[in-house]
Amino acid sequence: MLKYIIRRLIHLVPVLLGVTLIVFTLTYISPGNPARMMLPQDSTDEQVAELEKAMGLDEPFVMQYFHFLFGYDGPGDSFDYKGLWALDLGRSYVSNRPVFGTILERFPNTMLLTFLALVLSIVISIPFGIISATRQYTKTDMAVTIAALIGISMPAFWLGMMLIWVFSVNLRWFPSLANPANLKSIILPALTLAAMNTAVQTRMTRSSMLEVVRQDYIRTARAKGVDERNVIYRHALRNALIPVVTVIGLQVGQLLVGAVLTETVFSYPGIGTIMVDAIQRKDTPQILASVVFVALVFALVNLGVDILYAFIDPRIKAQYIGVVRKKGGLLNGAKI
Amino acid sequence: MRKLIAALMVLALAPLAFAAGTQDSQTVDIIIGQGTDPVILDPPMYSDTPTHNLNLVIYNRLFDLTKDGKIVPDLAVDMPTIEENGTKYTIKIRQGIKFHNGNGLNADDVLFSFNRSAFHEKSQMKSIYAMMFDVKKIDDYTISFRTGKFDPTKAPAGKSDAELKTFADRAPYYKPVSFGSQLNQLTWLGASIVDKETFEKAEQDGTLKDYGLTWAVGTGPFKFDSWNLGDSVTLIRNRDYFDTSITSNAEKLTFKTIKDPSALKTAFLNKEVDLIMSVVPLDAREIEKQGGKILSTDGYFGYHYLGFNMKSPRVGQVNSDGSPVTDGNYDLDQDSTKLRMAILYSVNPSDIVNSPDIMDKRGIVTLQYVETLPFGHIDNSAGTRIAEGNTTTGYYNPAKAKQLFDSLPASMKQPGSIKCTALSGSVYVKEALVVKDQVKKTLGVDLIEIEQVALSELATRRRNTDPKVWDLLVNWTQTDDAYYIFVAFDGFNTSLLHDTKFYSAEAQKYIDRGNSLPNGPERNLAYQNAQKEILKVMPRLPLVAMLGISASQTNIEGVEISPSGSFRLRNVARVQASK
Repeated sequence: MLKYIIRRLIHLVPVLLGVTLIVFTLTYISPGNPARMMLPQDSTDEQVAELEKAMGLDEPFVMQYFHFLFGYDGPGDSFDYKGLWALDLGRSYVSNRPVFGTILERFPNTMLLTFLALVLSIVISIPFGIISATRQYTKTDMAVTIAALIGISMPAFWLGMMLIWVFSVNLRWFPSLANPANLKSIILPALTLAAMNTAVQTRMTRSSMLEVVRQDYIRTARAKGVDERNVIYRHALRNALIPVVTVIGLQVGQLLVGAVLTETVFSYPGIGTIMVDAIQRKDTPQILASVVFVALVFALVNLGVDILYAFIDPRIKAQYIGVVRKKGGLLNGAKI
Repeated sequence: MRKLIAALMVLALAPLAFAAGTQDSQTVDIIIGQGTDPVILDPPMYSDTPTHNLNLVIYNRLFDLTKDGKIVPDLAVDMPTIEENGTKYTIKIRQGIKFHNGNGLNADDVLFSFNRSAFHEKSQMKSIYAMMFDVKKIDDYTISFRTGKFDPTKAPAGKSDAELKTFADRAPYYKPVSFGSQLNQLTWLGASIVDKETFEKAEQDGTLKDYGLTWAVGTGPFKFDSWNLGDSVTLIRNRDYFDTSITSNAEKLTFKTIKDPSALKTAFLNKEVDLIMSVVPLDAREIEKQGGKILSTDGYFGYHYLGFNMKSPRVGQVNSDGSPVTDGNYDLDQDSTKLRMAILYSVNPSDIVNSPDIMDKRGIVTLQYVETLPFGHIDNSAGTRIAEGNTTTGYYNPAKAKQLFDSLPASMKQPGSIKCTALSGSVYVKEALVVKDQVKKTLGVDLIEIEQVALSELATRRRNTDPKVWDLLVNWTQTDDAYYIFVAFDGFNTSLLHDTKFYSAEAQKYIDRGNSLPNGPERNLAYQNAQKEILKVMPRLPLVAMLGISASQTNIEGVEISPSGSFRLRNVARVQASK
């Protein structure tokens, strides 16, 4: 298992390099000159050229990408950094703060929001998925299905604005501005962020439950006289949840991405707003650091889900072991 | 499984339980909503309004500008002694002033601050000191300096002003020249005074790189407390502030960043913030309806203007070979000049001011180029308006417009022959439509064709002034930007007049004269004459002066709006809410 994890971690390196190359290229070719944006409006072309040189922006694309990976040592020390390999991309062109420091300062806020959204989506989706499956084709099932459809269809920014309008402006139950120091204020953004995932998970739970309840062992349990509650919760749900857990794990990454919009609507200080700001101001170091960071988190979460999956489903764990043993010339683990 | 679900529900509802514990405290905390984060709390290094709002209460300057544009002593004891034909200033500094960290203020701090702002590689406020040299400490609480300009005849061949990196370096190569706006410029935030000792210590212990980000030390009525990046900056009351006349009862000022304009408005209407700025006219109406208080500047905040591309053979000033006129001397009989003037006299800006979806009556028709802000206090509080025209209809004169237009050849009267650029989807497009309709109505020909472009394209057009692409531009200029117009006329850098590449030799003479005079009627007259010269050739038609609109809750008092539109919060107070 450990070897499998290490191998997966090594696989992350080319993935992240690919991400950095794409993002770096896009940032490079996008219009706007960071040196000109940093200088006052009355700066001369010579001053701009001087600053470009100090920032290393006068060098060819390949060299700039090389600096990005392995560090830059310019004429002065204002724009020096050690490179991505050392997790040091220097300071933001706009705020002058260390870019990774800024991300690490804000990331816990995004994690909090993502975590709450995840919990809300699970708490809502699983019971409703079960109810929907156990009352298939009833009015309740129809209502849950329609609600899920609406949840999938609604853009997060629109839902956020509607929630603000209803619960903040009219009912005044929640503040319109979210802040990690005031947990009540995170409920609306968490609901906004959770909406789509809740809908997907509800549908997933429903279909998975419907599939499981038709299995022979469920029929056997019922034939043995096990009461319906135990059939559903002890025998069916446990097995139905395996694909749901996979989807939930994958959606953690989507939640991180969705947080960009939700944070903006609720003025929540997470990494989403850092990214939006950085892109608007062509703050290259901050854009690159943010995207690489999110990509890294996304990849690690997916790895974590894969590992967790193995613990939930013994068949998968057996497959991992089998692969490792095969590599070592041993028997296929599945046969042990 | 049910236990798991129950546990998850508890987790999800936990925030509500926590939230119940949050209660209002007795401390008066005034929350200011801003559209962007401040950038750096180090005044010379960056200048935008959200940053200004904080720096104005953290730092002091030697002199301050009141909300009506008057210069008053701040850290200085009195107004300076000005000698030697207005070229030598001597300033006495108050004694007993303490920085937020307890260090005392003296002349060394002032000299250090001036040097840092004038010559630091990242300073954006170098222009404040562009004419200062020979800055000296007379004693611990007195400094002096001179104003002047680089004199190439005094310098060795190849030596340039840009190479001189200290005030002392400048001394041998500068000739004394009076500069009437120097004192005004010392009231600007870039001339804030910082603590030399603190900076030197920070340089040694390696914390200087974070100055203005994680720490800041000034002498102002509020001290830096914390910065929760992307969320808020908190300042706390400076109990040792030297000016005991301030009336603020705020213990804390929280500057909350709310990037989405509709979220900002909602937060204000929900009373989650006490003050907001940059309110658009239509929102102002809604805020007033819901009981908010609207605060506005007196028309100084910025201008909406109609700019002419001076490289255009249709509306600009070009030589017979098509090259633009750059010597500042204009042929007033040229057809292109007549067409410019015909357009000028066709436009009635009051329609823009009164239009509910443009200014909603929260603006004024403007007639002047020279405002008190960039030039310093000019005795005439109404500014330096040009006699021709009036504040109801601007220069609108349809008979004159028609007369000029009729004298033009048919080739200049083709419908759609004048190309007008405006920022896509902006209010300037609506203004351009008003201009187009008025020109059509007055001149009888639909001359103007409007093209909407994105911001980056607009910037490119302004910079390139390609006569094939555009003739007219409807745009907005901030006070700071307007200042550049005047800098252009000051002769520092004519390229700054980026929209129109306009330079008038005659106007320049009067601007030079105005700059060299002390405040008073003569200076006022010089600027008025400069404007008359500008009007003769009209590179840019000021349409409307927009008000900087802010809003406060009804229980917030003492907020002043500075001429540049920033909040001045030293006297801000929360009073008992009226029922």
